[in-house]
Formats: sequence, structure tokens, C-alpha cells
Amino acid sequence: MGRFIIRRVLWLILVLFVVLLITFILMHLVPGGPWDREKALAPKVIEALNKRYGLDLPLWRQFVNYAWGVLHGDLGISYSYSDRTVVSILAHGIPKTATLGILAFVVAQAIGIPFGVAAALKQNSAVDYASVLFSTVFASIPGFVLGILLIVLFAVVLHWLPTSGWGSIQQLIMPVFCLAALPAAQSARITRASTLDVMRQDYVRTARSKGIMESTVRVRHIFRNSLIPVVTVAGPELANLITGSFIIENLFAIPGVGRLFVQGIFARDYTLIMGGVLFYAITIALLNLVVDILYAAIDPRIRYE
Amino acid sequence: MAPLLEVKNIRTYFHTQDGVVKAVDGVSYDVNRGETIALVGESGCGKTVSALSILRLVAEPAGKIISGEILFNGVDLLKLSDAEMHKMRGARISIIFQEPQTSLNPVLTIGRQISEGLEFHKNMSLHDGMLEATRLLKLVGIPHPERRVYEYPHQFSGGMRQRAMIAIAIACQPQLIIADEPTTVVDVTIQAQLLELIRNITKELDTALILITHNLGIVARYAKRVFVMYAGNIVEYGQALDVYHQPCHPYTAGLLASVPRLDEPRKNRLQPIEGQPPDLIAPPAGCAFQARCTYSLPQCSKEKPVLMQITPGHFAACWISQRGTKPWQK
Repeated sequence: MGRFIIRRVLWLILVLFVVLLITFILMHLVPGGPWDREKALAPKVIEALNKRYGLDLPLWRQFVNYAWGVLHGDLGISYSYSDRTVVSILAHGIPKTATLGILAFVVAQAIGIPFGVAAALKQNSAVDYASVLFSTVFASIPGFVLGILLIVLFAVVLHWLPTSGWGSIQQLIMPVFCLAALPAAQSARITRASTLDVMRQDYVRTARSKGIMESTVRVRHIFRNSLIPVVTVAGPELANLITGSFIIENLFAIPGVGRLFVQGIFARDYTLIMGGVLFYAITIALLNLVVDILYAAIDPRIRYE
Repeated sequence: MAPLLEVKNIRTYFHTQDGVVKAVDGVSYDVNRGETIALVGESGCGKTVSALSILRLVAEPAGKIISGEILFNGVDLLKLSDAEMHKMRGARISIIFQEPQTSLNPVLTIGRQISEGLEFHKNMSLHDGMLEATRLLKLVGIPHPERRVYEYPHQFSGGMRQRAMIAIAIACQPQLIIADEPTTVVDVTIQAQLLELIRNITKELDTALILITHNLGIVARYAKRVFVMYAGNIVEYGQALDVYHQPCHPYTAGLLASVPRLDEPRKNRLQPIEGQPPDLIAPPAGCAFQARCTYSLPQCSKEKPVLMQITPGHFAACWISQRGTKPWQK
């Protein structure tokens, strides 16, 4: 297992390098640059800016310089947030986005998994239909629609929650719920399907033939096996939530990385875009690694040599 | 002495979209203490369902035991509460399933799967349960049981998994074991070993055994009495040797002719039973086997034959043999 993790981390470094290279190339292929304004800047000014940020060098030199910086923990200086380093910008945004994402993930699984299990155990009952109905509804409503509906109801009409902002628990409730709705619905659906599948397996019948308590059959034999596909999708889901949602962060005015990243793209803020991509890539790769390790813990058939 | 198990006229039906499947339609048999009986028939004749009915493990809500009695030590299992039934399963009656590949939980160790019944029925701790599981694995002939007990099903071969299934079945020393085609999916040399193992263990523990199989060849060697099932009914039963040598139902005779025999010249071709078993949703009015029977009489398609004694202890549901003729006998 230790060797497996080391090998995966080495792979991760290679993957990150490739991701950075592709992003860099794509970024420079896109028309426009960081100094495009409504009113064009004087050529002298642009020349001076290019020189200052090293954009006058050949592209390969720029990339080598950037990669060298990354190896030293230096992601460069943002062009649009004058004189702030990308590291400090990300360090400001990531904790907020991650808090939001992790909370949303926990809420989603805490709602989705029990609902899915209950629906499967009582197939074709009211619980089952309700769970299918809710998961279809929440899987189909876009986050921003749900967000606006929530704001209208809880902030404008009922005055229970603040409309937006960051800093208090009340301000977290609506964005967390908006983010959790879709993954909760997906989790419920996957859990329901996999539980139904496991319930029909021969080994569940074997377990029942031993006379052991029905609750033991459910927890030990059904639940553990039905979790395997749920874990598979939980990893990418968490990565998706942690890396933030531009729409939800904008809607609730949360200064997280999702919002920063999209603004960076509009401004052709090369260093900020690269920093954002790096953060996304590391998060997704690490969570996939965690999922693989969890897999081996749940399912003994999976062994990494 | 009263038999250990008396199955009386049970009917187990499945409700499907196409209609009600009468998988078991009025089946009766009995097992004495320590006795081995065989339930024989082709796939889909209801032998597995009739065995699952004993443990009340028929998949609900589709499947349901409609009527009948299953007396175990004189107590009707169909009238027991769920809690009382839990105390029966695994402890007094246990079952060895057909598919060792899929009948063991892939994420639990073999030891745990043996020990959990002991923990529940005998109040053993997990530690004692695992020690007992080790002893049982040794008993069923698994080498290095002290190591194997901590392994998972995928680390066992098919034959070894079936040995582990046997260990699970005998863990609480039940009075009755149901073996549902225990050797169908393993290769022939392992089949013989497993059957010998089951026989020796049931003999040693004085456990009764219901051996469910489609292979009449193995029946004569292991079972004292044989019950032949066809289309949800028992069509013939009697002492294994009588049934084997003087079948009183053309279906039994057909089954015997379709099994290769070592005591006959090789040039004889095996005789298949032509045709398909009847639709169990709408069974024919007369004898269920009539459409496939080469000897059928006009009466056979009109009236359903009931089991009648042909010779002492040997019963068959067949109008032809009930007239005292056996045209299939050569």
C-alpha cells in the first residue's frame, strides 16, 4: 500500500506538469491578453508591462520560468489584483470555498445515503416514491434557480436568513444547501440502485439462512457492499464541491476561489488562471487517491500491488 | 417415532407480471432423523423453491407460501413468529447453496461468515467464534485453517468455497441440512469429494439431509429415499434402489436414460427427454408430463394422476403404471 501511494504521488507530479503545460498553451492560444482594455493602452505602456511581468520573453522561457517558480512555491503575481501574489489570493479564497464545499458534501451524503437505503429497503413504498421524486427534482433544478428561490423565500419573505455574504453560520445555510442539492440527489439515486442490487445477491440469502438478526443482515451484509459504488462517485463529487462554484459564490457574494477563477479567465490573468487550474488538479488527483485507498478498505478484492 | 420433518401439501406461488407461477403446487415429503433423502428433478421443477419454503426464505413479496404445513419436530414452521423462525434458521435447519461463487459475502472474511451464526445462536464472542470457525474449516478439509480463516472468498477456489459453505451449514450442529445442488458448479473430481464430505459429516453429527439434485446417478449412492419432482409436483417416490431399478414414472425412466452409465456398452446413445416442461402459469389439465410422454393414454390428458402405491413403499403419479404396466421397462 505504501509503495502504491508513493507511485501515485510521483504520477501526480507528472500529471500536474502536463496539466500546467496544456493550460499554458491553451491560454496563449486564446485571442486577447491581460492588457486589453475598452480604451487601448499606449504601446509603450504595454511594452513596459510585458517587460515587468516577463511576457516579452519567448513562450517556452515563460513556461520554464513559471514551472521553476511553482517548484519553489511561487505561483507568480496576479495581473489584475495589482501586486498581490497568486498564493496569497488563493490562500484567501480556498478556506472559504473548501468550508462551503466540505459542509455541502457532508450534508449531501447525510441526506442522500439514508434516503437511498430507506427507499431501497421499502421499495415501491411512499418513502421510495418520495425519495425518487425529490432526487429527480433536485437533480433537475439548476443551482442558481434554487438559490434565487431560497433567497426569495428565506431572506425576502420570511427574513430568517441574510441574503448573502460571508462570516456567520446563517450566511452559510443557503449556499451550502444549494450546493448540496444535486450531489444529495445523486447519492440517493446511486445508493438506492446499489442497495436494491445487493439485496438480490445470493450472499444476502445465505446471511438470512444463518438466522442472524435482520438488522445485522442489513448493516453487515447489504450496506457495506452497497457503499462501494457510492464511494466511487463521492470522490469526484467532493472535488467538484471543494473547487467551488462560480454561480453559487457569485449569487451569495462569497469571496471564494470559484469566483476568483472565473474573473481571472475574463481578465486573461494568466498567473491566476494557472494557479486556479493547479489547485483544481491537485484537489481532484488527491481525492481520487483517497477514494482508491477507501476502496481497498471497503472491498478486500481490491489490492494494490 | 414421528419424522423430523414433514412437509404437507405445500403450495408456493410467485406473482409475476405474466400471472401466478405455481412453482410448488401441493408437495409432500418427510425426512426421518439422521436420514438422507434426495429431491430430484430438472431445472425449474420447483425443488429449490420447495426447500427454500422450509426455511421461509422464498423471495417476498413476489413469492408466497399459499398453503400447507411444514412440521419440524411436530411444530408448524409456517406458524412461527419471525423471531422464532430466526432461531430455527442456521441453528436447527441450515442450507448449503448451489453457487459458492456468489453465495459468500465478498467483503467479509470466511471466518467471520462462519462465526456470525455462532455469535447469534450460541452467544459466542467474536474471538471464540473465530476459533470455532478455524476448527470447522479443518473439519471440512481446508489446509492451514488458522490462516485461511482470515481470508476472503475471492482467495478461495470454488471447491474450497463450497467447503466453507458446508462449514457455515454445520456450525451450529443443526438437525437438518438442505443441500441445494451443492456440487453443480464444481468439477467432477471435486464433486465426489464434496459429496463424500457431506455424507461423512451428516453421518458423524447424525444430521438429516435433503439432497437436491438433477443427477439421478449420485442419488442411489447417497440417499435412502428419493422424491422425483416434475412441474411443481412430486411424481414418484420410494426407496432409492427401487426407484433406480424399477422406475414407475416415465419421467424418472427418462431421467435415468439421460444419465451416462458405466455398466452399459458405450455404443448406446444417451436418450434425451424430448420437449419442454409445461408452463407453470397455466399447467395442462391432465398429467403435466403427458405432452412429453411417449406412452400416454387418452386418460392422461384429461385427469391429473395422484400418487398411488405401486409396490410396497413405492409411489407414483402415473395412470400407466397404476394400471400395472411399465412399457418403459426393457
